[in-house]
Amino acid sequence: MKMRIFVFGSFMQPSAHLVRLNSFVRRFQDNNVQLTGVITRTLPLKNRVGTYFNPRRTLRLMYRTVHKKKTQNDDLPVYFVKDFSSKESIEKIRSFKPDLMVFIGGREILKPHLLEIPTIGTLGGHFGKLPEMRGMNVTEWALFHSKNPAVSIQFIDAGVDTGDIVFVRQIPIERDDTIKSLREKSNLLCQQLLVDATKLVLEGKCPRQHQKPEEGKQYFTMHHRLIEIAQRNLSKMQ
Amino acid sequence: MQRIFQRINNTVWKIFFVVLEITIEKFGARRRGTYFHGRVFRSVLADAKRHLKMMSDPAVPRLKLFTGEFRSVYLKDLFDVTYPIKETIEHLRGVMEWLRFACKVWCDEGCAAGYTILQGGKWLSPYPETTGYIIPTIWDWAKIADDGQDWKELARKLSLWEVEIQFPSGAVRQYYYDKTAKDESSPAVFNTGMVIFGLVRAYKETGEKVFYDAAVRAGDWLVNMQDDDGVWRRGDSTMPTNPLRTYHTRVAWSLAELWRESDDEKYKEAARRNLNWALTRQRENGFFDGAKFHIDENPLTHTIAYTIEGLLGAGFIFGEERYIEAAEMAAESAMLAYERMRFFPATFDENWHSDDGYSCLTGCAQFSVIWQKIYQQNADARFLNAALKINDFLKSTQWLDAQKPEIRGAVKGSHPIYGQYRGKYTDYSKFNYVNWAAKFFADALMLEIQNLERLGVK
Repeated sequence: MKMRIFVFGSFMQPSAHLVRLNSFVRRFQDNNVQLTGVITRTLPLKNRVGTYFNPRRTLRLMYRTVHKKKTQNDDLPVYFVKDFSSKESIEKIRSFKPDLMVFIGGREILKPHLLEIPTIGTLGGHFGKLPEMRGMNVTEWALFHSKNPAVSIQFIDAGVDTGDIVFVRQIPIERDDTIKSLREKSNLLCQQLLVDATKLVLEGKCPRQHQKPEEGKQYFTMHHRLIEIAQRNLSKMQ
Repeated sequence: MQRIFQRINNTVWKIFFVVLEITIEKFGARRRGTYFHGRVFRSVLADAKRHLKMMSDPAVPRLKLFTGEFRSVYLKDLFDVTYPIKETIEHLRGVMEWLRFACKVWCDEGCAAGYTILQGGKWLSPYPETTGYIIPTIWDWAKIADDGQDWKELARKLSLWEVEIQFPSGAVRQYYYDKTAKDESSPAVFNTGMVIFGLVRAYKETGEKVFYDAAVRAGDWLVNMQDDDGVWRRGDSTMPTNPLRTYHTRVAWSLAELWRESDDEKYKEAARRNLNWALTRQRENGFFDGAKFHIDENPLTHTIAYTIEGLLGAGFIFGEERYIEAAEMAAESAMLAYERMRFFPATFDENWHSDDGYSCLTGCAQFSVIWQKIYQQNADARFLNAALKINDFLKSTQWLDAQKPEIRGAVKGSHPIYGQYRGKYTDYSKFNYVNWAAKFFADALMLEIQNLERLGVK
């Protein structure tokens, strides 16, 4: 029986939302992974208002909308939900009967009743080495501790980055790398690893390494004075 | 005709206040990580009704009560307008100069408890308890300040004042100092402990025996007042209604300081008895039962911090890991709650949750000190990170360019200055700038400078 795979994500900025969604979907298609659909959020009013008042962003949005229509010609339906936590949205997603969901990013913490829906689980990327570094700004935190940044793929659970680990890959630091460029590299690697993990799930060979909560620490947004130290460490590591 | 105009004028003011209060409530919600959307407009009618009711409450202060810069403070807090963040040393200098001013208004006979912007603005009476723990801060600052000698003089004068007003029993009075109240009817365990910090430090710095003797007298009185299980049930302030005050660990810390100076085992035993008792009051999530002033209310971050400070300080002196670990556990829970909420509320319940929309700035500064000390102990930079962020928040509430020296560089009791209105006002020392908030803020900034220097960040 064909596995039903959905990618989903919640982005606040329309342009970033569509660019990332498109590049992700294209990457799956390039790797011959057949997606069943895309689930995404309708944008909140304040973001839409912001877009309409910004002519440059509006033009970009119009361009992306046209572009998105082109990708939809490949029979890939895009479903919109209000959010990922309300009862109606959960019921709607449940009606899609997904086997695997791939979270492609966003600012929401995914609630347990959403994660329970897919029969296999929900794959997600994390810009840090699991289980050691959980939470936010972990690229910076890795550099602060003079370690190479890493990307991990996990089966998301109700905790913060405490799900079963699929892959952990380090990012080599090159000359002229900055924190921004390392985050870009992390993003690209994360996309590819999510596709690879999905392929392994399809083949029934996906590894799952269980992690214990006490094995790592949760990090939060880094203060700019500590980012200075991370930058200093980065230049030493180059 | 004039009456009609007056009525219209009053009505306009009323509408203005309603709009202001609604706005701040919504902006207040924003601070806690939510954002402004359509729901606000749907709830405006309900809010307006509630706020109109509130405006008829005589306890609610009116903006027109405030003049000049006081009005500016109120309005800025109302609209969540923050002050510019400058170099750390400038904020530190600002708050220390304010503390010096608070001492000078009473001719160095104690540090004024604070300055209230109510009643046209006035200084509060000297506060023996907080003056006691402000003394070590002044000694620390004297080592950094250009005019260090003046600060040393001030610290010594304050210490002499503490000796002068000490009861013959060794106890220190509760609440503010009132020259007319010469009786011994109001000693306070907590206040006595806090004064020991100042006396011990003064003895260390000057070597004058008068301070040592006063500290020993105070320590002896504390040991006598303690029950066998380590709890101080007798002789404490009558204002808090909580009979079992876990925050007395800070008194135990003062006895630990005295033990280090005197080598008298009775102080160590008394301190350990109280700390051991405090450990039995800790839950698995790090929360301490009874770390509060009043029964039937959630503890303020101020009193939670007192409890942690006591365990941490005494733990370092005695070299006892279990006290330090207990303090770290509570400090980490508070740090995680702060980072998740991106806001440090004034109170926490036993699950480290809070729906407060205002902060107790004293508690914020105390936790900054705690987190930085823990960072120095275990090198976990998450604690330093949280402390730097909360220091930035504190800096953004400090008005360094105020014309009035009474509020320039001072730290408020609550932020916003009026606390929070929810049917009734909830607050911590509303409309006041308090000296203990200034003291802990100065401590936090001195630690920030020290920690960043060690990391090589200028």
